[in-house]
Amino acid sequence: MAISESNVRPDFTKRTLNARVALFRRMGAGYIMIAPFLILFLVFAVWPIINSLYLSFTDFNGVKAGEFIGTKNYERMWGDERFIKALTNTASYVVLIVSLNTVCGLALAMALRAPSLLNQICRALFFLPAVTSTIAVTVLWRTIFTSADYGLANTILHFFGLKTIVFFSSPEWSIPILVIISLWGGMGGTMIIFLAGLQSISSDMTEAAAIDGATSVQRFWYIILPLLKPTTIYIVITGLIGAFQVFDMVYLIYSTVGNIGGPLDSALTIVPYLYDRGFTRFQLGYASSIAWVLFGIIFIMTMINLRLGRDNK
Amino acid sequence: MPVATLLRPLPTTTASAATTTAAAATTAASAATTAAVAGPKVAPGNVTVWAVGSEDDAKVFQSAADAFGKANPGVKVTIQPVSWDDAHAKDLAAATSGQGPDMITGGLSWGIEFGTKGAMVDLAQKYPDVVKNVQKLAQPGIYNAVVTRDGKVYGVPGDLTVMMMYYRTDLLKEAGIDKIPSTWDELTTAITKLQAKGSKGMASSWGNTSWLGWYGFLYGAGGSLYDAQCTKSTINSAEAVKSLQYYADLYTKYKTPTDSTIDFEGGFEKGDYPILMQGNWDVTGLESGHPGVKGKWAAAPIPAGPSGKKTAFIGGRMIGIMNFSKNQDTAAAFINYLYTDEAATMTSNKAAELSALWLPPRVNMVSKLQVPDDRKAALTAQLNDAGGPPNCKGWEESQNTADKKIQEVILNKADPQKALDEVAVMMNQNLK
Repeated sequence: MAISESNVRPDFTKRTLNARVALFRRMGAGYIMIAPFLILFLVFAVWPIINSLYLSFTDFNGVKAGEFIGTKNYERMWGDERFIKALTNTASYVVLIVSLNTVCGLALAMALRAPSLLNQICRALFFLPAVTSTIAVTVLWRTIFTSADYGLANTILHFFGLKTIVFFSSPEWSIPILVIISLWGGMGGTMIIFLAGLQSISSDMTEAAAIDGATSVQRFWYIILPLLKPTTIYIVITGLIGAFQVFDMVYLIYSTVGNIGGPLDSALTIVPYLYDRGFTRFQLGYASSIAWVLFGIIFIMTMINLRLGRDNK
Repeated sequence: MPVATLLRPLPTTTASAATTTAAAATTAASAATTAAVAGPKVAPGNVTVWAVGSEDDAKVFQSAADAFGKANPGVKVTIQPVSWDDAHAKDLAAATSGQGPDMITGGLSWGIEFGTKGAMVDLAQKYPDVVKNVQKLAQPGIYNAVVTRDGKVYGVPGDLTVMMMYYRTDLLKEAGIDKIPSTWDELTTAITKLQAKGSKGMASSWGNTSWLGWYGFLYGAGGSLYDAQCTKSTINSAEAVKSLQYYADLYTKYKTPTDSTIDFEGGFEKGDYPILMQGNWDVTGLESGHPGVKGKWAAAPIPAGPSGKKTAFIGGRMIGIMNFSKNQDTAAAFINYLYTDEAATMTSNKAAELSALWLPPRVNMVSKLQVPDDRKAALTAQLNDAGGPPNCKGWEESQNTADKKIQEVILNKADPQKALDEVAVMMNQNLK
C-alpha cells in the first residue's frame, strides 16, 4: 500500500497522545500538589505585577478605571524633581550600605571564624539584630538620635565636649542615619553567609601558602577573597535588591501626616515616594510606572553584577 | 495624639468673614433646635464607620453611635478605629474594591479627595437639608474647608482641632513676665526672658517647621495662601514674607527646636519649654500624661500678628458616606444626629471620662465641655478666630513644595521672598 498522509497521521497522533498521557501520569501528581500554591502565586503575585505594568500606562486613581495615556507617566518622571531627588538619595544609600555591609560582614566573619566558644557567643550577638523587628529597632534608633536630653547619641557627643547635633532636622545626616541603622541590623546576617563561604574553602590551600611564606594579608587577598567571589556576588546582589527597596525606616522616622521624606526631602527614597504618590495622592498609575522603573534599575544592576562575576572567572 | 490633617487654607477674605461671623454663628447656633432636623429616613441595618484615630477616639464616637441606635430600633452603628498611618491606604482600598465601611472619617481634605474621584456621596446633592443644618451649626472656618469650589460636600466636619498656646504660669512669673504674650513682640520678649532664666524657651509641636505651623503667623500678618476666588496664590505677598521671616527667626534666633521627635509635653512638664504651641487636645490630655504640670499651666490663643489677627489653624476630621454603602439614608441620619446638642454633649462627656478632648465642630458647644473655665474661655476665643485649609485646586499637590521652601528658610537661611516666590509659581501651576 502506498504511504499517504491519511495512513501516517493517525499513528503519529496516537503516539503523541500516548506520550503526553504517560508524561502527565509521571508529572501530574507533582503539578496537582503544587497547584494550590501556584494558583495563589499567579493570582496574588504574577497577575498584580502584570496588571501594574498596564496601569503604568494609565491615569488610574484607585477609584475609577484609568484611561490609557501612553508613556506620559514615564515622561513625567524625568521632569519630576522629587523623583530625581528620591533616585539620588536611593543611589547614595545603596552604594554606602552595600559596600559597608559587605566589608563589615566579611571583617566580622574573618575575625570570628575560629571555632572557639567566645567566637560562637560573639557570632550570636552580632546576628541578633537580624532577627529583631525592624519597626521596634527603628523606634529605638529614633530615641537614640533624638536631640532631646535623653538622646544617647548626643549624650556621647557631649561627653566628648562636642555640640548637640539635631540629627533629624539636619539634611546631611538623613542618609548616614539610615545607613547606620541598616548596617547595625544587617552586618550580622552578612557575617553568617560569609562564614558559610569561608567554611567551604579548604584549609589546605591557605596552609600551603603559609608554608610557602605568604603573609596573612597575602593569603586573604590572593586566596580567600577570590574563592569567596560567589558568596560576595550573592551578598552584593541581594544587598542591592534590598537596599533599593528601603521603606520601613524612612516611613517610621521621616514621615508626617501628609508628607514623607524628612527635612528638604533629604531622606526621600524611591519606594516611600512611590507609596506617597500612589496611596496618598491617588496617582496609582504614576506610582506603578515608578515601580517598573525601579524594577528596571535593579534588574540592570543585577545583570551587571552577574556579568562582572562571570568575566572575572 | 490626634493629628489633624489639612485641607486648603482659607482665603483671607473668607477667613475674615469666618472670624467676624463666628460670633454671629455662635449666637445663631445657640438658637438652633436641640433635636435633629427632620432628615433622611432611617432603615434597620448595620452601619459600619471606619474612624481614624485612637481607640479612645472610637469610644467617644461610639457613645453617640449607641445613643443613635437606641433611638432607632433595628439600627446598629459600629465604630471601628483605624490608625492615622493606615487609614488613607485602607480607605483607598475600600474605594477601589467597592467593599468596606458605610462611612469613613479622616483628614478634612479626604472627603474632597475621595469624593472628587467618585468614592463618596455628594451630601449637598443627595441630602441638602442635612448639609444646610451642618452649615448653620458648624464653625465656619472648618465648614468652608470641606466644601469644593463648586459647592459639593463629600464629608462634613466630625470634630475639630485648633492650634493653641500653652504656657507655664509659674515659670513665666519667675522670669518676670506678668502678661500673657499676646503679640509677636511680646512672644519673643517672653522667650528671651525665659532663656535668661535657664529654660530653652518655646517649642512648636503641631506642624513643626511646616506650613501648618506657619499658618497662624501668615494670617496674623494679614497674609493668605490664595486670593478669595482661588484664582492665584498670594503666598508671596509682603505680609507673607514678613511672617515667614518672623517664623524662621523663632527657630534660628530664638532656638525653637526643629526636631519633631522630642517629647514636647515632657519638655513642658520639665520646664525646658515653658511656652508650647500645640493642638487643643492638650487642654485635657496634658495633666493625665504629665501630672507634674498640675496647677502650673494655662492655655491661651496664639499671639496676634501685626494685623491684629490671631487666626489659628483649624484642623479636624470629616465624616462622609461611601458611595457603595447600602445604608446611605441611615448614615445621613446619623450625621444629622451628630449635630444635635445631645450627641455633642455625649461625646464631650465620654471624652472627659477618658481624659481626652473631643471638640464638636460647633463653637456654641464649647460651653458644655468639662474643662476649667479659663481654658474654656481660651478655646472659645481661639475658635472665634480660626481658619481651615483652603479648598483651592492643587493645594494638596503644593503642600510639599511649601514645606520644603519653609524648611530651606529655617534650616539653610534661604531668602524668604525667593522661597515664597517659588512656592507661588508651583501653586499657580497646580491651580490650572
